[in-house]
Amino acid sequence: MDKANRQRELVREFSPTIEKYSILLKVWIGILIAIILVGFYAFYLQVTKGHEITGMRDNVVWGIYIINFIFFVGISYSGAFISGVLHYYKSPWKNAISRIIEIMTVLSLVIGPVFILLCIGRLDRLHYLFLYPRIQSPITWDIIAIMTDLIGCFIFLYLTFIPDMAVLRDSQDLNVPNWQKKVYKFLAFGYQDTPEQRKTIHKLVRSMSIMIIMLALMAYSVLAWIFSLTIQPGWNSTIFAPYFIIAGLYSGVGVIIILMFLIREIFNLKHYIRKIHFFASGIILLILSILFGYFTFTDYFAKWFSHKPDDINLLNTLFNNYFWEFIFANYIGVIVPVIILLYRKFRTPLGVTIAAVISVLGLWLNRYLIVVPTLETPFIPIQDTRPEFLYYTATWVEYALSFTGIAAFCLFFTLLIKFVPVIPIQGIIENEEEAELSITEPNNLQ
Amino acid sequence: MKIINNKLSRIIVIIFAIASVINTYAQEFVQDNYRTFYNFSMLKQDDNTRSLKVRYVLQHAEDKTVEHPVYKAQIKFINKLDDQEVILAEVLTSKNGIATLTLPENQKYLKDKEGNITLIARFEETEKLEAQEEEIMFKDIFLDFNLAEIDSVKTITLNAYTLNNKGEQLLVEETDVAFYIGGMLSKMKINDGTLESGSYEFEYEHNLPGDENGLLTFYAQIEDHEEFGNVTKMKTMNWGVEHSVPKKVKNSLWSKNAPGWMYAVLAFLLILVWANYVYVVISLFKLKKSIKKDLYKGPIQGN
Repeated sequence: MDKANRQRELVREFSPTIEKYSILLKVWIGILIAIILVGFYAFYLQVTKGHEITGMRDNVVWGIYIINFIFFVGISYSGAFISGVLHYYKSPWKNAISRIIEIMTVLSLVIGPVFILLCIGRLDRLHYLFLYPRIQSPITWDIIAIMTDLIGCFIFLYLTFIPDMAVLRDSQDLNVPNWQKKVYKFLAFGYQDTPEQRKTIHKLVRSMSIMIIMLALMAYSVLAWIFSLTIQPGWNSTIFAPYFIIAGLYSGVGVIIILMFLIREIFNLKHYIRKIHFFASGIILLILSILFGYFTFTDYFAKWFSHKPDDINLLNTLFNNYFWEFIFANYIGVIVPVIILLYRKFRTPLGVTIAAVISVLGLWLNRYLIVVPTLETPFIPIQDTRPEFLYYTATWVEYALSFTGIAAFCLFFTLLIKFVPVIPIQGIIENEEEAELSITEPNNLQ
Repeated sequence: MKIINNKLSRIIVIIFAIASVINTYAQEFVQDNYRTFYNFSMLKQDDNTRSLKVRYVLQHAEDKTVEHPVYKAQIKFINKLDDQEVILAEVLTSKNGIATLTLPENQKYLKDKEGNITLIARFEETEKLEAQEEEIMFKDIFLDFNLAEIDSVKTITLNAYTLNNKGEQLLVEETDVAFYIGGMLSKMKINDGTLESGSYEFEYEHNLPGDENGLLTFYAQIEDHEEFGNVTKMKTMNWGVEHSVPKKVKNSLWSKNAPGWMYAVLAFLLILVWANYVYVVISLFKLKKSIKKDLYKGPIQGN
């Protein structure tokens, strides 16, 4: 196989996704920017008027911001974990989805922590966290974990970008602006795809993949400990860390499936992102949904069976005030995906994606039920206060900023896949070379 | 012009008439929604003084949590016998709507032939509030509260009697009494029973810790009795079981500095991770340097 020719073919194949900005794409980007601008206005109002314009009060000090934070960070850790495993074990179908996962991982880890900043009433005192950190506090652990993980994910993403940057740098056919070519050249870091360089990059990617698997497990456990190391009924649970990890993987796989489906349909990449990918990821989602359902059941069953008054108060709140949310999050959000994915005939791209959408929505709601009703059922209830101080209802400002987070994720994802091929070109070539080698030298397989 | 003025004055009169009707209705509405809560109670205390207490509040008829205490209401405490009334004192209610009066042990009372004392708490009518009056009738009772260890048995005895007109003691019969031990926030009931032949006795069998000196405070009480009202007697005794003062738990997580192992673990993990990052970055730079210029074949040519 002539590598240079094959590179040219692949660049030509993927160049429309990089070069062209269709009307539809421009409209899409415009809508996302409009949503982000509304979010900026909401943020301006929140900074100038304070948290008074949110639904957060003395009793319920955390609202949908923290839920979005947990959700985004969960997706990121899940992506890091899956990506690390795919690279470390050189999975045969990693090439089709690895870039989607890596971009998702980094973007959600950038956007997620922004939501925690929105929870802070006095942003002007944010630097105190760094000036006077308490190593004993899980919040300090979380800050260290997130920052370390973010840098690790950036390095990991960059390492996987380098070979494709070199391909794009060397492609004269590619009709992109000069600044973009300069960026490709800079990011390619002099990579020439020599056997020695390829070996080094693979070695570095593998070592980083171990790191980010470890970091994902540690960081998401620390996030769970922020809740479970308190004595708050509903949070003080020994299984919270593994529960969070399973939930994060569940939501992460769900979002990956949704992104796979959209990219496959929009860019017509059916020969790269094939049915087998959906079939396999459907089985992973099925296993995770069963595990997630098991953890959820165990957590609530222990609370119900122990019959501690505070836990019973919480369960009463959940079953009285949040009945339908509870049913959707913990029954429909688990059982429906399981039913869809159990049947082989439903494990089509569309069927698996529908199951993924339900599981992602159910999981977001599950996070809501972990945070809000728990805070509404404290050890010592606040007395003689206004009813609106006791219960939480998100305001338009919070919804606007939440949608801004989603819009920012979509916008950056769109811009990044306009910058690099969504399927790694160098990965395709390497796969083809290995396949060729295995045909010409069958003993290599033994 | 006169016509206009007449019309205008009519309109103004109508507006004022409507406003006054609404105002009257509003006042009636407020009064209808509140009911008077006027309660008079008496407690004969351990030192034989008597505490008289009146609580005067307006309570919302529907929402009983809404109360408006009547402030600075003048309450007359009166000792009454037939038509004869002796004013003991006049007390103004506090911001909580409470008026209290403590009568000394040697207070002289008007008594009927059977020794009954009648006390009245009276609030006289004002422009805004109706007159209120409550009456308590009781007989003076004397309690003799003893705590003693008899044959190694901790025994609590309560003797009760009244005095007749000649000053002779009459043993009290068929009267319920309750016994408590004082705690930090409230009292804990340890026994109750009925006085027979003027006495009630029981063994103290609890193993309760006392204060730092092992002291426990015991209370004997007659509560809301129709003849004697509320009477209490108190005694302190060194019957608290010894208890070791719990050692002050030193939670190193709440201390100023974190425990050493935490710094060690965190430093180890961070060094491990960051060393790997540094290794990757250095390897990348080495990779760049290792490229020989003659190996570079130039960009891929199109077409």
